[in-house]
Amino acid sequence: MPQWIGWFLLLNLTTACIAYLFLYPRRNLIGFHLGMNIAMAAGGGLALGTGVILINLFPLHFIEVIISTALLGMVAGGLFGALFDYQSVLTGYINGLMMGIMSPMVGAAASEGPMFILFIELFILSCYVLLLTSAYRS
Amino acid sequence: MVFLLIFITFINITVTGWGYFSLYQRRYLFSERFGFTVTYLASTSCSFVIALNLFLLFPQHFEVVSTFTLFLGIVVGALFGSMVNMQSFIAGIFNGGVGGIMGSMLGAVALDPSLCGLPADLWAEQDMMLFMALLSLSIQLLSACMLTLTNRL
Repeated sequence: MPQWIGWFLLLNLTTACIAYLFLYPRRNLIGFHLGMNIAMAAGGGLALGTGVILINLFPLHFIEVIISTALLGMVAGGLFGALFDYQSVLTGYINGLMMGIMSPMVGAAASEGPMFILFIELFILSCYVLLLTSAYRS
Repeated sequence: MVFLLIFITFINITVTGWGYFSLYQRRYLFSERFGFTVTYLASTSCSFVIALNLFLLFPQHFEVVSTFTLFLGIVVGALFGSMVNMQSFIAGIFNGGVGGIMGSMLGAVALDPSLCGLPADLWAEQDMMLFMALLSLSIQLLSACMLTLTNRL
């Protein structure tokens, strides 16, 4: 596996930070239904991308990768849900936790080449773009 | 190490039952959306944790344990979901089944890492059992804390 896939990690985190900073001033305009879906998609997508990349970069450190990805998914889902209300926090938390535990296994099973990671990145970035568009139009 | 695993399984089942009864007493106060959220969180985390523990306790009977944990997850989800209405009942059945399947999948990968293309001597069995037991305990306690915080807010 080539080492340049580590840059996608930085891209994911930057996109999540930009999305959070974009959503923060308009959090009162967004209803609870869209808020719940934003928490689920943002936390789960960030945990999925991070787990798939990290297990390909460090294939021998399974325990550390599982712990860090589950923590990242929980914190990201909780933060995106905390923009809206407490039930969004709960939904984002459990979805980020599930995605964070499952994604290192998916990444380890699909470690053939960088094509899978490219498509995962495309999927996550298009998810974020859709999310920001729907938040902009609401 | 097996005694620790049995002890932690007992703690997890006790926490699940305690969460069910403490939510059951307030079930008339729930709105539809709150019922859906509580069912989603409780059924997923409880069935995941119980399936992981049971799979590590009985690694010889592969098919029986994975079928039984799927059935157990559906039962746990149906119990949590039947508190409010039909919508949360469906959500509980589906998410409980998914949690049961995911727990047995994590247990299978932990017992045999070469299933996922990882090296076979990734960890010793003692370390793996200790790590998975503590992981399941921390997930269950954190979820129970967040569930009981909903009563305060």
